[in-house]
Amino acid sequence: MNHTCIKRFYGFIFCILIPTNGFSQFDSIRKEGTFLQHLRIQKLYNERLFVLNQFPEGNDTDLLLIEKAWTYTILARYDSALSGYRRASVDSIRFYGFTANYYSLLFRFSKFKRLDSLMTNPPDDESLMKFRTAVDLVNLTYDIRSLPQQLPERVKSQYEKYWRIEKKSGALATFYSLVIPGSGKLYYHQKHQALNMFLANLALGLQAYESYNKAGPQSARFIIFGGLFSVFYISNLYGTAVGLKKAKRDNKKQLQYELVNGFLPDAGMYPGRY
Amino acid sequence: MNWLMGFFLMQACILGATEAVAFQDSLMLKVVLLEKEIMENQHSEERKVQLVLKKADTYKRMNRPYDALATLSRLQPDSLSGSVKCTVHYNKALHAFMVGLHSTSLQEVWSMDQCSMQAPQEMLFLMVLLENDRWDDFKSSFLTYARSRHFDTTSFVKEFRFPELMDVDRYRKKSVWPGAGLISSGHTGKGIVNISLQLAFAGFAVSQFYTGYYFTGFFSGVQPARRFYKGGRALTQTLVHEENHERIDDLKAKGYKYISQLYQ
Repeated sequence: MNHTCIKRFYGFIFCILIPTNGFSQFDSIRKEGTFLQHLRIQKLYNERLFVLNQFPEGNDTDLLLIEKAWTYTILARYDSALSGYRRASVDSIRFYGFTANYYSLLFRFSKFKRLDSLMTNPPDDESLMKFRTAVDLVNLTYDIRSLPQQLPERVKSQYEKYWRIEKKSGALATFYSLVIPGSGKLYYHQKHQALNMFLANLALGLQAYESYNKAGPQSARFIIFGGLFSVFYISNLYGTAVGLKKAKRDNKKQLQYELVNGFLPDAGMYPGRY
Repeated sequence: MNWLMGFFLMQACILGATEAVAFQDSLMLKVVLLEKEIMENQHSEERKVQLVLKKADTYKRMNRPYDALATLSRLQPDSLSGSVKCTVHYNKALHAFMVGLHSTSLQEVWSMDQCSMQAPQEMLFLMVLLENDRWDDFKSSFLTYARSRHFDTTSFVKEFRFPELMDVDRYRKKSVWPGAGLISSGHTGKGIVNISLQLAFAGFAVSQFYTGYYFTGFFSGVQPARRFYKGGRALTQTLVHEENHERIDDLKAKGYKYISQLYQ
């Protein structure tokens, strides 16, 4: 091998090592614990994620995944957070104390079956009991007269709203709107929409009636106003039926939101134990 | 042959994008390493200041002025001395200006009164004054800097005058008469369309009432006419506000034009 070849070989090795050397500034997650804590205290979460992404997946794979998942949660990248927790073992999540954060994500994404299956054994932490209560609340297990005492007022009032609207019948609401346009909406407490629907139908109905009465059923005037009235009247029925479903869904979402923000343990709190 | 060219062009694009990502990544690595050094130098104030300034500069290169400003907020300029203090104030003002926090930026540039001003500082000072609508301060500062640079200010003095703004109240009162507010504020076309629509619907209402169609007259004549009347009044106010904003923006544009001429 001649001299030039050896020089080239070393040059090649050097070029390969430069980036490796650049990224090997961070050894392992445990050795960089203080720095990661510093980044967390300074609220430099993007930077924290960057550092976590530099560690090779080795002995502490689960811890790494969990730490990344928690950082993703803080950055409101919930999909990535949930996928991170899913890749880690449940035992590790429990061991490192991130159970509440994981459960919060499952609850936020309405993964109630998964949450149920994880909560089959009695939880070791009392705060985790709250997840059982939260799932029961979303499933409307409680009667509104016997709600748990520790629930915040906002959650209680939202539960009552959701409970009431869940008891409403779509068929009955549509029947009401059939008799008096808009009254179906009033039945499930959407006063503003009910009034708008009623007034629009009233205005077109009166004009159609007037046209029929004075110009006759063959007149262009009646055809126009009668046609418009028919469209609005049918829309009123359809809107009432679909609106109730949407109202139920919205109230459920709102209850979930109130529970996550006012009742469940704060997912933003760092629970790490290492 | 074309497909081969296309293939190479695509490869080049991918490589370009990869390079950009790699560049961002290397800057992020720099940020993180600087942060680590800041953590390790918590008790050495002088070193910490240098590191924080470097970190803010790296954020600036990453096009993240918010983060740069947040980084600089960790420094207390009052506890610093001389040129370092001025550098911190300048950088804070610059990043606040870049993210649109103009009042913060103004506070920072006011704090630079004891600092020696070079061209970049002067430029920033003038731009901050413009964005904070400090017209008189801008004018006097511009003239001072222009004189020190032997810049001919004749056209500036002639052109840079605060424009006469339209009186919103006056036009609101005028808009009591259908279409009058729009026409008198210079939007003749819109005014004519507005008044025509009101007249058409009002006329329709009258004709319906006359023939005994009272419901049709009310719901399809009176109500739309009333809506167009209220809409015309609201539109007058919006357009007058917009016109005033445009006049102020024109003045700002003139200011920027003279700043660029002064420091080109």
